[in-house]
Amino acid sequence: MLAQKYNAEMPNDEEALFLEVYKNNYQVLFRYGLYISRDRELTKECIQQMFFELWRKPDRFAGVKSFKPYLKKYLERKICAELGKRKANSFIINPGDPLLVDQSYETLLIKNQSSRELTRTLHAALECLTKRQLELVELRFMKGLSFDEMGKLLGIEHRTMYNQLHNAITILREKVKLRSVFPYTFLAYSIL
Amino acid sequence: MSYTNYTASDFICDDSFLRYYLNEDDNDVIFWQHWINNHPEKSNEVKEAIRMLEVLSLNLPQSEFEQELIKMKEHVYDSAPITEPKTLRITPSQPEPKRRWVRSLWGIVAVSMTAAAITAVVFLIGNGDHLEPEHSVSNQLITKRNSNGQKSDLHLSDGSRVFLNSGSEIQFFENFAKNNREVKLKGEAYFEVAHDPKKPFIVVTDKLSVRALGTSFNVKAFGETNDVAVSLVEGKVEVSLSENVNEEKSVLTPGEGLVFNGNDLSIKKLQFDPAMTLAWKSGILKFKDASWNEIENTLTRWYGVEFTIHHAPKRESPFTGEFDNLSLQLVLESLSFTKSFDYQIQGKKVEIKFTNQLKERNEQDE
Repeated sequence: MLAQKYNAEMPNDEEALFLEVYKNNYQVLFRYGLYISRDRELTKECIQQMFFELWRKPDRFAGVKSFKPYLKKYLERKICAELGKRKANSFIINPGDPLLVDQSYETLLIKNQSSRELTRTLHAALECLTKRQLELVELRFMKGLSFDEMGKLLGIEHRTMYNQLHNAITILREKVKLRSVFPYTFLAYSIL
Repeated sequence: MSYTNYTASDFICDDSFLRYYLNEDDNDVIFWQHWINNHPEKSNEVKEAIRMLEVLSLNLPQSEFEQELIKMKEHVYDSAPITEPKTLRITPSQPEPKRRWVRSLWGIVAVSMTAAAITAVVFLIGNGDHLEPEHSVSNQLITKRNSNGQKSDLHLSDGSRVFLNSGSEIQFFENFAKNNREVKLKGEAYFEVAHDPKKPFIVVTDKLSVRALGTSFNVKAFGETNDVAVSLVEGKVEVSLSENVNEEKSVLTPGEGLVFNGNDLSIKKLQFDPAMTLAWKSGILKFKDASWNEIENTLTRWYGVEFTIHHAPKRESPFTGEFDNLSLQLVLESLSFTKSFDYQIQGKKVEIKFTNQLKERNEQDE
């Protein structure tokens, strides 16, 4: 959508449009980068650098039909290059390589919470899940995979996965009672 | 199963809804925005689903994202855009060699226009302020302003560091480090002053000025109240009324704060709570015995939103609490419970309906 806008409409306000692309894709890129690198700070840094680079190129989005795949690929190359640099010996690094995965989804997830209370309850809640459920939660919410994609990856039937995930969500929702879940009181008042 | 029977868990487990929340697919985004708008009766389930997804999805927390966005904005607006000029894009079949030259010329025009625009803004704001340029020709007045919802971390040329809160503004001359290091502040900022005994660092607000050598302190001087608060973390500062700089000076020692009351012009010294005063720096919203008015003003600045209030209660109990890097929605959700109101966020506009009043009225009716 934005890609068409960028190339079709005359960008009168190049800066604003560029920042729009940045805002609209940031979280997608952040999750993707984190999934590959397992390193928050590295991911943040690479995203900034990549947009700095893009801003310097006059034909930055020429011929790009859809931003997300293009930007993801760009970020992936950047992160791999950066990781390559860090691991001075230059063996080929594949994204998601178990060698790189020294931080599990649970660790990352807990680290990423902004409230301390949530950190605590979430930690306890995650411990109630089975290994398979955790795997599903990670593929689903960090990588944003659909059931079809997860099925291909894990070789499990659609319905089984759905049920396991649904159960996991129910457990998490019960344990991670977000402090302010009392929507029904409002309903009552507005009916009055 | 139809979406209208969905529970929060069902939404969370729906492929299309997930792509909408994660912003992975434009079609899903459009579909769900539309659907949610048309099904207000499902808004509680949807909200609950989104809250859970916020926890699980590993997005960068909003406050951190805002910091990144500010850096990107600064970069984009500071460096001249390298872009093809308008006229050339409309007629892309122009001969190649000329085009290159024309483009660079346009580049120059664009750069000089940006420079002119920035200067104009600076002088408009700078007009009528206390700061006088010492060597006016080459010495430019620099203004850093955060709109509501923005915070920034500035490094000054003398090595000092300034954390500028949202809805705040700081001004100084480009070569301010040559003589007295003087900056003008509207709003709130935390200063970590680089040590230099020969050149005091002076923060001027409308009412007070603070003079320091090498220290860390917080100054809060928003226009909406007349009060100015200075809190000293380490080192030593001298505070005086801005109007008569040579009279009445108060010296603060670490842990001490000072509140200047703009209404009766009194100055009160007190011990301040560093956790309370400096929480904003780390993205923590803290309220202590806060009135609704104070909460509203703070949220307006913090999140850059506008409030419309319905049925504001006549009597209210003060609010104490903290929100650690939470989204506006979570903050309101939590407040709505203690303060009993119903809220709606639409873009940058927030509507609040207090339900207390409603209840009271209904009781009277019965």
